[in-house]
Amino acid sequence: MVKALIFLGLAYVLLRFDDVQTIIAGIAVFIVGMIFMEDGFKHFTGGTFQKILEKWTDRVPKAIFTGFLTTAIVQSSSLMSLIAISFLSAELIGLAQGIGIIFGANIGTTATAWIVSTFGVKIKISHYALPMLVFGVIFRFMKSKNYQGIGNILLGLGFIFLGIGYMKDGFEDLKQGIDLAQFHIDGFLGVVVYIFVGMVATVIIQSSSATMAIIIVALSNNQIAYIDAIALAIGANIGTTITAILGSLTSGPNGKRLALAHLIFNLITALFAIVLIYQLKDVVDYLSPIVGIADNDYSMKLSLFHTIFNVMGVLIVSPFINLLVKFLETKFVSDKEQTKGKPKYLKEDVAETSLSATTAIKKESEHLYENSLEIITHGLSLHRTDIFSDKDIDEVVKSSTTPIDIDIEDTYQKTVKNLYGDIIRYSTLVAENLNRKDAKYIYSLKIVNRGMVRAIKDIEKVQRNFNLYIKHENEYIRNEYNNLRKKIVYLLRELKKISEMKNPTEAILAVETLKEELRDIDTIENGRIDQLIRENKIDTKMATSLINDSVYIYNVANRLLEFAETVWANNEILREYDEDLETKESAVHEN
Amino acid sequence: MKISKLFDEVVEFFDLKKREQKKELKKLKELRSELKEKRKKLTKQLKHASKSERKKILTKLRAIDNLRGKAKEIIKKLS
Repeated sequence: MVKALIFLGLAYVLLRFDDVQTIIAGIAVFIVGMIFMEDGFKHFTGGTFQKILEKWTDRVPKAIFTGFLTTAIVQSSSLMSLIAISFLSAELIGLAQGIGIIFGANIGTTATAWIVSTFGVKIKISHYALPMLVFGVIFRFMKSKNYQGIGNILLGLGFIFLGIGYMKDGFEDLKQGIDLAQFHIDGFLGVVVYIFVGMVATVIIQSSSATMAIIIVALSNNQIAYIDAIALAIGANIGTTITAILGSLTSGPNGKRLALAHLIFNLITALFAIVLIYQLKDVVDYLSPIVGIADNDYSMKLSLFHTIFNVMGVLIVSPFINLLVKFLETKFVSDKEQTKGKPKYLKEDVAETSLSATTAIKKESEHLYENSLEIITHGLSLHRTDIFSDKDIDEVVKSSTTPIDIDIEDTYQKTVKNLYGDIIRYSTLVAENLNRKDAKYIYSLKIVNRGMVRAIKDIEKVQRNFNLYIKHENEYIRNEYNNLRKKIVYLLRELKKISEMKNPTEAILAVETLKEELRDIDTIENGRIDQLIRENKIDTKMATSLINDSVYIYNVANRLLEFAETVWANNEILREYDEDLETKESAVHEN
Repeated sequence: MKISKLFDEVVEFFDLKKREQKKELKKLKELRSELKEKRKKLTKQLKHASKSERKKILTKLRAIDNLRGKAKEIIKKLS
């Protein structure tokens, strides 16, 4: 009911007052432009942009700088917030770096004010808007996602310029009828009132950049006083965090942490700015001639104020980032301590970028590997604490002859099946956000995850025989089964080393060497079975069991190796042109 | 000129595929030479190795040859 009344009221104002109609249409077009820009950068930048962000955010000062630079280019702090949240959820960056990006993004948004105050109000910017829109549409119709991205960026810029143009015309016309400057309130009360107005306007428009554009255009048309414009800008900064808080209500703990960090930062900055408003104004007046801003160029002065005020905020709050991290981590507890069979990393907010989605799926696959390893090792009556200890392999196998009571099917259902299903479902959901390389990589992750499920099924088949033969009185069959277990212990130890290797070539080479070494697991291939039968050392029943089980173990070993190759020793170029993989991929699709 | 052809030319102009392939070629060549160095070192070690070490080194050498072979085939495809 309230909404309907608001819409009716807005419709009346739009139809009744032409000038207001032009201004509000300008705001609407400006916001549409921002949406297009954001979407365009998501498509166009694909992996590169995210990779830069990942590499350049390892330390807080770098994260602040990167947050500033990328936001200044992309012109959207909300896109940066989304990326920061998704990186944080995928554990690509830590909370301190995430907060750094948000702080930097706050300075980056001041670029909008500079663009509007320099180009927007001084030249007829709408003149460039229409060609941009035309080229934007042409690019938009192209097949490649990259070109569609460029198209969206051009459309975004075009609409932003057009929006500014409309706002400018609207304010110029409005000036003929009504002078908004007459609502100026003297003194500190005026400052407080205009801060509130700026805040409410931003909450309604949902974009501090749009609010800043309106303020600058109105200021350049002398529709508002300079001091009121400053107060409005402070209000816009507070308003934008309210938008972020509202948006974070449905997000995970990382989203909430960043939104609260943003609110705390902006409130502290605003508090300092309110207390020091007149001093800051003097600083701007002092600095303006130094940076070449004319004394009466208030729109440029406002942009300078906006930048100083945000930089000041970063300087004040940055030393306390670690304190802030501690507070936020206790305030919103991570939901990591979940039950084993539930996904840890596949969160909605991770799906925002190709890199974070791929990283999340990769990490979840490692989670699935860990859970599968428990079943595989216990199925062979081995304990992981022994496997990954310093003990000699012979000793590990010799001392583990008591069968571990594990219901493989039940444990699989509880700890692996749902997780595997979630990985497949999530991979399908994020497919449209992936670039070609990541999409291909996720296919291979799907294949190796399926391999882990099959490895569990293979272990289930051999479990009975292993329980029987690892402590059998016939030493020959006992030795053969224990040899198979030794191979698995050796393999798992090597795979652990590979998972920790820093040099990719070393990791690839280690995997390739393991492939060579494991060829002799298959007892038919290595010829041992013939010898044992010929010399009557094992009976036929034992022989057939051993033949079958060695193949199963050989398959398990290969699946573990394939997993390691894809997850820890992945050379994307070798993978890209791997014909075997292409065949496997088509098999997944056919299934 | 047909508009679709113009599009194709624009696409061609911005096409990064070739540049990407060049980068991939460079990386593959680097990988091959890195492996070659490793091969040299291992061959030296082979001369003084015990029987069990020999077996390990030979397996590693086979693995290096496999990888270098794969990389070589891809280089052929790309160039």
